Amino acid sequence: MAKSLWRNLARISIGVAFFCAVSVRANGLGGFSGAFLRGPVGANAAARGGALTANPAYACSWWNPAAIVTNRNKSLSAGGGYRSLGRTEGLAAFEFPIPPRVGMGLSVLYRGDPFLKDLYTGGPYANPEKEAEDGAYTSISFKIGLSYLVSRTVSAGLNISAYYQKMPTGFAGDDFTELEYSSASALGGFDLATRFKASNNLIFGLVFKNLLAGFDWVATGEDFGVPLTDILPPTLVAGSEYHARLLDKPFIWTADLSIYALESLSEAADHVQATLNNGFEWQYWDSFHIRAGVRDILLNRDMVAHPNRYWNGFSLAVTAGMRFDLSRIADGLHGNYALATDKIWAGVEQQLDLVYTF
Amino acid sequence: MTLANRIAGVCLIALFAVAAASAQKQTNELTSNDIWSVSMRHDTLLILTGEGVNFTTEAARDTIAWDGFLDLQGWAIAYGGGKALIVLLPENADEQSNRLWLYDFATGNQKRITPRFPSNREFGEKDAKTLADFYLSDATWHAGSFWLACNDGGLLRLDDSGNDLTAFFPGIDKKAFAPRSIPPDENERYPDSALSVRSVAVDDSGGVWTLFDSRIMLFNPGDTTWRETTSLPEVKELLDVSAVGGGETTRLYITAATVEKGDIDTSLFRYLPASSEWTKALETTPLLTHIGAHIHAVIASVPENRLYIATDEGVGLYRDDGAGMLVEEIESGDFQQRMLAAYDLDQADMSIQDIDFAATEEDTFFVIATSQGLFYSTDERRDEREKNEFRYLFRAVSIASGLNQVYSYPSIINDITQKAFFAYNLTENARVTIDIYDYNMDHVIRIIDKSPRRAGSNLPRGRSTEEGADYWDGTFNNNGGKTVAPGPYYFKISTDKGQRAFGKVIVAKPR
Repeated sequence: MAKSLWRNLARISIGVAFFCAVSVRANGLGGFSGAFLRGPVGANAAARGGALTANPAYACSWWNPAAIVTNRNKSLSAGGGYRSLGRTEGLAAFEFPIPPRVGMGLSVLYRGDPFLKDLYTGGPYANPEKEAEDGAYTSISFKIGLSYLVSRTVSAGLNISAYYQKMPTGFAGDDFTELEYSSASALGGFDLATRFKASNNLIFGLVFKNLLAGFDWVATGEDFGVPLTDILPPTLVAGSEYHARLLDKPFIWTADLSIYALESLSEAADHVQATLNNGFEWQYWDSFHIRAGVRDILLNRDMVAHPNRYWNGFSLAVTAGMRFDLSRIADGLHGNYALATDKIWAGVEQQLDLVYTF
Repeated sequence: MTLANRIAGVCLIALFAVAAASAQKQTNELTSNDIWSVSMRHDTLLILTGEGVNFTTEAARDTIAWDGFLDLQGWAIAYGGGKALIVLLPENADEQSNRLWLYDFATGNQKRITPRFPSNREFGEKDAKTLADFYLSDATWHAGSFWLACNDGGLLRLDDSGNDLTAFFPGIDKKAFAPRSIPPDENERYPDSALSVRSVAVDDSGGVWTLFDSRIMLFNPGDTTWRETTSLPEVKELLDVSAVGGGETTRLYITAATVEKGDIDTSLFRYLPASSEWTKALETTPLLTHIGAHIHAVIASVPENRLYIATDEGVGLYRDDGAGMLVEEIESGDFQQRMLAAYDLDQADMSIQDIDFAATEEDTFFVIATSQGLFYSTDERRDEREKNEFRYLFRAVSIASGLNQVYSYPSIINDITQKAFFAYNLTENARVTIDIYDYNMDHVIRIIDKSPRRAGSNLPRGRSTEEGADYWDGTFNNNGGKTVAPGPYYFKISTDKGQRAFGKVIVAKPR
């Protein structure tokens, strides 16, 4: 058992390395559009290093719409989390099969920072600077997913997305200590997905995300309004899930590789990036599963070509969590909890969600 | 319950405990450790520091959560009737100080008052003088009015709405008049020093006691009349007055510069107006152990005829039996030693600058403003003083951390502001690194990398920021290149001493 496990892991690693060698070069992801979308959604994924593309159990419309149809039951999930430095989030999702071959899912995700404190005006507005009012950043993402079972081993999916963001963009008021807010929306972005069950132990997923999604910002302040460019970069995510056994108990290893090579469908990125997420779930007990992982390992050519620059910006998150059975409360109810380090060690991140399958 | 469920329960509890611990925040936020003045009444505490005025309306508890901060450079503060009056420092060295700031705790409204000093020609003075600016040396509050001592002449009364300021000149029984109604003559000289009021105190019956030169005068606000007391020949100059009681029971404690055997020193006198009796209440020892040591404050509102007296040497608690010298109950060095020992501070670095005492129905509070922070003690009962350590020291910087006052300004980088500077203060020289991260905590850019920065205490505005280097223009290269995506960004400031602090900045700038 152990030999076959490690042999298969080696095969997967080689595949990942191939991806890395082919596609990666230069800088980090910081500053790219869509930062609010890059973190793992749901406590299950958050505990497993954010690697859930191949076979998500819930919130499939977010992770991989092709997986919706593979879940035979309806699923209702809701949860939330608090991250470091005031960042918060909330999730709600609903998926249901439409026999015999179709599935549909809806998800809504709130992410924001309602604690924009210690903001100061200054510069052209005040000298010395003055403390401004507290602010908030809000983003809401909607996804509607459709899934189709092509064959026993292959399914395809499509998401249609809508996004909304709001944040302060300028100062206003008599002494410019009030905040002027702007909001922007992106309608009609979509994801294309597929899922392939290679064997009883191995599942692959591939999702092409954020196609044709861009925000129509107009940043406003006192007496000005300026359009801002904010196009979500299309992202290719390749995920895998491998089932094995550890101490004779089910052990599931997942890995996701996200590749950022495009600024938009018509424009290549200046710098191609990739991030690797890894995680596992160990089902040692029936009602309590242990999870852990490592998230957002940046892979690019700087690792070799510019190691100083690479390590200056290097960061990763260590994740852990659990799945706990709540069937004593309601049949089909379980909960997920995740705890993770912040990538820059500013604090810990926590997420909790409940999933009801029926 | 299965073993798995038990383990799950324990893990959940442990994880939530970790989360709770990580979510605790520092509550005592001051902007400076150099606390010049303190005023406390009931539950309201105000302190005046080199950076501004901190205040709280919930001081009567184990920890002080500061409610607010006024970014004002002040000279003196007075509090009463739910309002605070701050006498502001002059804006430049050539000015006197005549600007006032009034803050209403109930509404949060603030206003600046800039009174014009009137000409005293109205009183028939031969050498009529007036002054556009004047020097205020003391302030106190009683029954809806702030009373201000004007060192250039006059006793000022400001009603606590800040709308009615009137001036009274010592020894001159005239009805009050509003200074604003008389335009000043800027070509005239300063008022006569005989009209200068050094200090003011109000007794419980509303009598306003003022000091100028070697005289004490009682002003009756009701009929605007003055009554002069006798003076002491050995007194060279009266410095400060505190009043206890009212009417026939009024007792004044007066700090005075005295001349003895050719040496000038400071002494504390007790004056009983009812009997016009002066007595020296405190000798130069043990409090005043060297020539020039002076009394910062005398708090005579402590129950049971006790006084707290703060000097350069320390703070002592004394009992007044009504005649003769004060009886020392707590040695002057006792408070100081307790403060220093409790917080491992260096005596040479700390000076006592002000004290105040307040009582609520349930407890008593004693606060000491020092150059190293605010000390705060509750229930300072004499009989149990050995048990009552100075429980709390409130400082702008925690003893372990040397990085504070971290923020960006302006905090929004847009087409108008173009760039944000990073404000931070170090308590010691260090090498500083500033990194920028986006919402997903992905690294954007390193602004400075282990660059040397000086401790901020002696720099302009007490800030270690190097204006020419510690900024971000919202681009990937911090040099006018491609702008990052709109959104909130998080910056981390770290030092080679292991200190870290985080802040936020928003980018809304076109690419």
